[in-house]
Amino acid sequence: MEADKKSPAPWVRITSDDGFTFIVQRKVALASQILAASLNEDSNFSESHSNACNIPYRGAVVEKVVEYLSFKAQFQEPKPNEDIPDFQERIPPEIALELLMAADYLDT
Amino acid sequence: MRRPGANAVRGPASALTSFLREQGIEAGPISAYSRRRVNQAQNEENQGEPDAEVHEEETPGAGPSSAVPSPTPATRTRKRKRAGEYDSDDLDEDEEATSSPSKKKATATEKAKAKAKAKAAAQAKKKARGDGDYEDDDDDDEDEYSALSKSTASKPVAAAKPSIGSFENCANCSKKFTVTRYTPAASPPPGYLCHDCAKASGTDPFKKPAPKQQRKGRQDKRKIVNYEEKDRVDTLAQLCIRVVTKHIEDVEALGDISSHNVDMISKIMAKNRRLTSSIATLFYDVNNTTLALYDCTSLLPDGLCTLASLNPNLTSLRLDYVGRMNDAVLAHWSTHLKSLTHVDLLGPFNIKSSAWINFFRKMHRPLEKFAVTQSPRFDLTCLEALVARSATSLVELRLGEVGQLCDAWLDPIACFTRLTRLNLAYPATSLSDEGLIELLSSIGERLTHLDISGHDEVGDLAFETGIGPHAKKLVELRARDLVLLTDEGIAKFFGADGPSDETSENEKEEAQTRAMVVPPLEVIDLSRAPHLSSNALTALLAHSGSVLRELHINGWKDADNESLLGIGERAPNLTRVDLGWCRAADDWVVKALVEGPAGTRGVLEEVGCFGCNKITTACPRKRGIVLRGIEVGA
Repeated sequence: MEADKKSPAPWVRITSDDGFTFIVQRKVALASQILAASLNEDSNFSESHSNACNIPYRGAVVEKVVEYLSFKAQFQEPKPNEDIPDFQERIPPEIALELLMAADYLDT
Repeated sequence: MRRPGANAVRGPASALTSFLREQGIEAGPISAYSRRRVNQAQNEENQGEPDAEVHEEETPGAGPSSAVPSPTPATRTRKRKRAGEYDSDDLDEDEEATSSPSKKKATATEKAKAKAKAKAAAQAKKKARGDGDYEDDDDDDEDEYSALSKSTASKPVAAAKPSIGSFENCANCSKKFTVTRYTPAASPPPGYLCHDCAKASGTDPFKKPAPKQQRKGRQDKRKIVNYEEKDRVDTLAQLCIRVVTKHIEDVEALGDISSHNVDMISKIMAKNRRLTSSIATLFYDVNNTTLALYDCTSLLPDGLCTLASLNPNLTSLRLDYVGRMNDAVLAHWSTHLKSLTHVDLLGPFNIKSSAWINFFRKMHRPLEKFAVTQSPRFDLTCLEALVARSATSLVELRLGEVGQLCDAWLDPIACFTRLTRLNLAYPATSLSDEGLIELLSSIGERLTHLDISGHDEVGDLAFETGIGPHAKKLVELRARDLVLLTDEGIAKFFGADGPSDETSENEKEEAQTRAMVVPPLEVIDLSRAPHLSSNALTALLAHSGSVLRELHINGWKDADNESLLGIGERAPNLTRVDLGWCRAADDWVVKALVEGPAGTRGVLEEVGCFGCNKITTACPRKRGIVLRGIEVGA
């Protein structure tokens, strides 16, 4: 991926513990409080310089986290009568507990 | 104008009226009523001589605007009118009239005369104006409402449109034409236009009348938004918890989790306040020896009994917020948890003392740790039952915020021969110095952890002659909110030499032995002792600085900058320090803390500095050290 030199870059790289990489729109990453804080330009964390964040869980969990973040980014400010699909159906029970810990870590 | 100046008698007047009068402002000229009166007077004058003559004849010099002392017809009528309604402009004068009876009497006949005159004048006026047909004795003619009605005033009166099919002469070309529904009215009103003239005038005769403007969004307007739904997207944690709840019966579907993660998930559930009976089964296991649930608010007594049944091998149990726990639960535990030795409960309000006593008696094994916080029904008999069963086994005792704690409890506590950790913080009534000293003299030598926070009658004496000589193994001392402590007393406790610096060898030795009385402490919490300051801090650092891991001196407002700088220099192993409300703490103090003593590897993790106004956002920071409480924009 070509790192965009413009600040802030429109794309952000999210990596998992076991080496999976997800490239998402910045808006999507900002749906998480923790990622938003670490990507904040003013905070001066290495994440904000490299536009890359590590979520310390395995790929399957991080994938679901990213899926949720894009879901949240899309429906964060819904129109009054817009129907929001149920994300719960998309969570496989076998990763629910790990996902719960990741969600707690990310404050989402 | 209305009120002649010669009349010097005045009744009570409102503050506003008298103020206005002082300023020379009279309500008369500005009131709508009097304006109308003046206008009328002018009209009367304009309307001709007869009126004026009548005035001259009948009431010489008594026109509406005359300055004769006697009440004028105008005033009379006004007064009459006032019987029915109030005119704010005239309130005071009304009072004048009514509140001075003598004057009233004097003028009664005058008034009668004037009344007759006024009537005559009014009638004459009417006649002069030519509206004699309007005979009304009511004198209210001045007030008659003469404005045209809105509908008649604004719209020119249009004659009804001739019926469709009839013949009419065109207003423009005078040709006869048949009236249709499209026949327009001529634009200077009288008459109608024929088709040709209508076309020539440029108006489209077939133009439909403009459709009525429909009010848009009426439906929406009526919809009242009682609450706005925010955050309609659930958090991922909530969703996950729901998934877990749904599949709780099928534990295998949820996969394996390590014991470390179990505790973590327990905390997350508590944080989300979702720890219900069904979710709690997630943490149950026959092989469990320890269990900690951090928020049992949603666990009903049945759930707590289930807990005991499903975890029969527990040795250590910690439950927070167990407000719903009752006597039956405790009875169930005592029979089902056969290995239980460590109990830690927060908020078991509903347990009666008889239940505690039964629990202690029926336990299969004597307790090693008994820790309760906030249990108002725990009383002396309960403690005695605990002593009877666990006197030689109990290692840790916490009776935090137990309302009935008093000096009488200290003798039973002294019976615990293996006690190393004792917490008697925040009782309803403080223990006394003497009681505490006696307790420490018997069990002090084994204590490693002591918490006597919130005993507001405990002072220096308990430290000097209680803790000092007896607590020889102490590692952690927590004593928050001890308001009686003095700077000198604590300085002495930590082995300071006292005010004189000239110390002989003997004194030095003495100081040293005194300092050796208490070993260097690793954790010191003397927060919110308002009299402690520089001397105590300096002595404390000299005594324990080398091993100090945690230091809480929140609220030592008088500690000076120099002594605070000493923390960084003399406490190399400090991981946590709370400087809150130490007013003299500034960026230099933080710098000393962050950098640590020269040549040492800093292990500092957290600095609390709430209420330290001199610490700014520009203070030095270091990776891994959390600074809490810096005021932004201070």
